[in-house]
Amino acid sequence: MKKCLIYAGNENAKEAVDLIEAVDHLYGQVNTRIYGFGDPKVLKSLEGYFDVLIRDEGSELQKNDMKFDIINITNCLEELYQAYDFDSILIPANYVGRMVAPRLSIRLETGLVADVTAIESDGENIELIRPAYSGKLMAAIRNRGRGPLMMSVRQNVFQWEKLRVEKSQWKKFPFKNIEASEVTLLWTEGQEAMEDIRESEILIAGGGGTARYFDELEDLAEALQGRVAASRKIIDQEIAPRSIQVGQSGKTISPKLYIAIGISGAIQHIEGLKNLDHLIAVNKKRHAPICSIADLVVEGDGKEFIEKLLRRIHRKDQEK
Amino acid sequence: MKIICLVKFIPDVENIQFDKKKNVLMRENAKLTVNPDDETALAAALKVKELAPDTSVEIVTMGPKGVTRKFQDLLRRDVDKGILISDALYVGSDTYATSRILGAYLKTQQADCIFTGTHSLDGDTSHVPAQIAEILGIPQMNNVITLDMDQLLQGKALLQVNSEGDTLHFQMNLPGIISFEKSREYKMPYIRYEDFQRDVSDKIKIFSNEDLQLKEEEVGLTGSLTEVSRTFMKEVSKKDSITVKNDDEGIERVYQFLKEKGYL
Repeated sequence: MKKCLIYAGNENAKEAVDLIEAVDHLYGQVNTRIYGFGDPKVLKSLEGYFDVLIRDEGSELQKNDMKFDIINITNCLEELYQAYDFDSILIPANYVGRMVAPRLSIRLETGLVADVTAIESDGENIELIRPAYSGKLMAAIRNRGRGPLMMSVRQNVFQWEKLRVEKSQWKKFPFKNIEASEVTLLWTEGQEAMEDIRESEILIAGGGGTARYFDELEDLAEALQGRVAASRKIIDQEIAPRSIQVGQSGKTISPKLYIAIGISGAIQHIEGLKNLDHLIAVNKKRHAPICSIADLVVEGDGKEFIEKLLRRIHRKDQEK
Repeated sequence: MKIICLVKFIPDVENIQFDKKKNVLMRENAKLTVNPDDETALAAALKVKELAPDTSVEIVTMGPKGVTRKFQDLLRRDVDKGILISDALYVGSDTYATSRILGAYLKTQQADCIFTGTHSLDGDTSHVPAQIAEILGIPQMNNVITLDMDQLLQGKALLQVNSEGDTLHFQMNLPGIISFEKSREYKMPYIRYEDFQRDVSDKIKIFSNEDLQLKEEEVGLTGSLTEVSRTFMKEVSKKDSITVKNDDEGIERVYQFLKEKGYL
């Protein structure tokens, strides 16, 4: 039997549940026991997905302050490993996870693979696949250490829906190694949090070609009740915030409809697209890489496309 | 105040060539550049020095001796010292082994804070800053966009951090590692004209394994806990696309498509 720990750190339970698919790829038919630990609020929503859910008992753990307390989170995960001897530890590659995973790998003296996008495994020989060089190249990586297999995984790369057990087993764990926190969160400005492009079913994305008229994408997004996203070129020119960047160095997204305007579609961008239902590519070059994965290619200028399509949509509205 | 900056020289990722037959990157011919996040970190350190000239700024990099010329360019700014960690034994180190090597050097130093970038464009794992912090037993924060310089000089680290679109404000105990993300807030000063050709070789010190005294089995490929078993180019599964022009007929086709699929 294989024992896996999934860290369910922040408030997003789906991120932790989706990692079950990664465990499924790792061990296939082999019997697995999946343990979850993290924010108590998140743990509640993991009921039925995880075999074992661990909450602390009688320790100094200040739950509200734990959220960004990287060192104490690492302490807890280390203690859990010592108690359960997991075969693998999976950590969501979000802001906190990206700092916790490397620390834990040093503690456990084990190899760590970041941003795993695929897993090839026959149950024993395991290769973790990740992009390198901005996604220009894929690398298959093996763990040579004696410790557990450790990886971080970005949101939306794996997906899991179905319940696994009738009732999760709740275990109380008395954590011992809690220290005074070295980091204090003073305050948060979260005005962009509500605009998470990962939650949108329709995305209108602009690339380098849209730099001079990027604002106009908003009009089309509004007409289609979607949101605006961007490729790295737009972010690098500081035309749009990094929170709406799609791709290997941005976010992985799975909307139903993706309209890519002026995006050539370098691998690093395509890497960020998962399970799209439909893709429309608007590009002056009909042989741009993105066009080969599009359902519909519009050859021409993006600005003109937006204006014409908006006129067509509004004409229809008037006819109603 | 003493600040140590960790800087990585990386191949120019945008223009790197790929050998399709051998399935490897042609790294040899690639131009080296300073990793953008690391450049922001160094620019921030030099900003501290501008405000408090008695600040000492030391840059540490690890790589082949071939980076020396590029390294000198950095040292022609107002940098006090450059440490190049270089040894044939270190070639092929993964992030774990790399952090052990850098950690071995940093353990011998007394810095008030260490500045690094968050991501590197080539590997893009973000492992090393957090791993070094763990080895040194100090706190570390990623994706720092601004640092309150006045407070820093008072010995207090107030950080503004970009966490997936939210801006978070933290106070972090020092000594600690502050890992920046690329931003326009901190810009590298230009090299003064009279310094273009200045000999800075006396500022560079090369550290090899003789200095750091790590065991051979702890470094390089042998000391790495992960190994790349193969590399390949991702094949994109192609679709039978329909191509239309940006004319009335084409727009009508798009409009009908959106309607058929239920988007309108």
